Amino acid sequence: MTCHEFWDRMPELERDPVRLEHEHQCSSCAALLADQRALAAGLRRLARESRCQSPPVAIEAKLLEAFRRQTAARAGSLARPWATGWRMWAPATALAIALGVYLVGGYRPSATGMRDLTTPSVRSESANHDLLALDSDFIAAPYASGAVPAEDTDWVRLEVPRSALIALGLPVAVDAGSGRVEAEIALSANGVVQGVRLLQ
Amino acid sequence: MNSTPEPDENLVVALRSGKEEAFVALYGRRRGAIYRFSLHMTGSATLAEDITQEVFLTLIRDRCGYDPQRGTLAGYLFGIARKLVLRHLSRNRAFGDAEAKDRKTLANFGASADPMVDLMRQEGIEELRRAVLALPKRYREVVVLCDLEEVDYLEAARLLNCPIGTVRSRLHRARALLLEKLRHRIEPPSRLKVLDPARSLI
Repeated sequence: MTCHEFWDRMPELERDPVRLEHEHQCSSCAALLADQRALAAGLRRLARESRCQSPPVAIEAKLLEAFRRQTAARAGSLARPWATGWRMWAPATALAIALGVYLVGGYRPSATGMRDLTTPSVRSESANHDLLALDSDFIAAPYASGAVPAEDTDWVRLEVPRSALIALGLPVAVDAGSGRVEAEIALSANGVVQGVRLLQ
Repeated sequence: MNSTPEPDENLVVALRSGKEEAFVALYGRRRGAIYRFSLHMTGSATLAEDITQEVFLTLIRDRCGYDPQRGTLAGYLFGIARKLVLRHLSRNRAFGDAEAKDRKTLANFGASADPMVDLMRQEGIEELRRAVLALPKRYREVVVLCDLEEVDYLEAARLLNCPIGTVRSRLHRARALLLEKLRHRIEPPSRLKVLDPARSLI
């Protein structure tokens, strides 16, 4: 048996007499084999010593908590089968509605009758006027949501100093900062000014 | 009284129906192997804990992909752990330097003339642990799976997605590398080439 054959027959023929004979005859193969056996024993010992290693108890506690949450959620969805469907369809429905609103709003920009003076199109409008948007339309305050005034909105008619319009964030020409403008102020339920409708 | 442990597959079915004790039993049965595999592969206890947690969280989730027809639960869990370990190792390229660092450590290893004798001592075992950690990952994983966790070659081949012959040859090469690493400190590398059993095989 050559050295090559000797190693080729490893490890299946551990007790093969021909192999054992070569081991006795070839000192280098015998030395290597002894090293391999020592390594195997070392690995077995390492495996044995590692056996006691396990993750800390806190991990089990976390996993149990996750398992309970998962089980409760599953039980909840089984008890309310519509909930699963609702959860599935709600985002799609919301997206469809948002898309619809965007498209409708996009094609008919004046449909709501509202204008936000902070938009560039309005900002560039009539530089010769002292007020950039002097008409009777409702002008939402820049900080307001921009929505159509609700039914519970209070309308207060008064003469507004131009400076107050500036304070509201409405674009008024700087050189026309004094004087008064007749307007209706929309006040929300909590008294915050939502916008103004200029009457003059 | 029936003392036969419940098969993993039955426990998984019970777990999916919300039985906590099934989860506890499965976790108790498999946590050690997954933790040790991750620990031997990464060398970090913190990472091993994270990986163990993630492996069992995957099992808990509704859409866990375990299919008893395709293999054992242990294989499935090892597979997830392996993916997480490899993801970590590929992210952390600096880990490759561990081998270089390890050589330095091995150079100071033990006091006796024969490193194989050292293997029987506690410090020898620690050095062996480090040598395993310093193996290239494809060799490390076969040593950890087959030698340390006693996963059979067939299961290891399935897990590593390679032929069983590849598992055998990698294991053989890995052991040769381990011997080389452990002997490196006292013998010049030229002699090792002559004695390298892997070379005589390939």
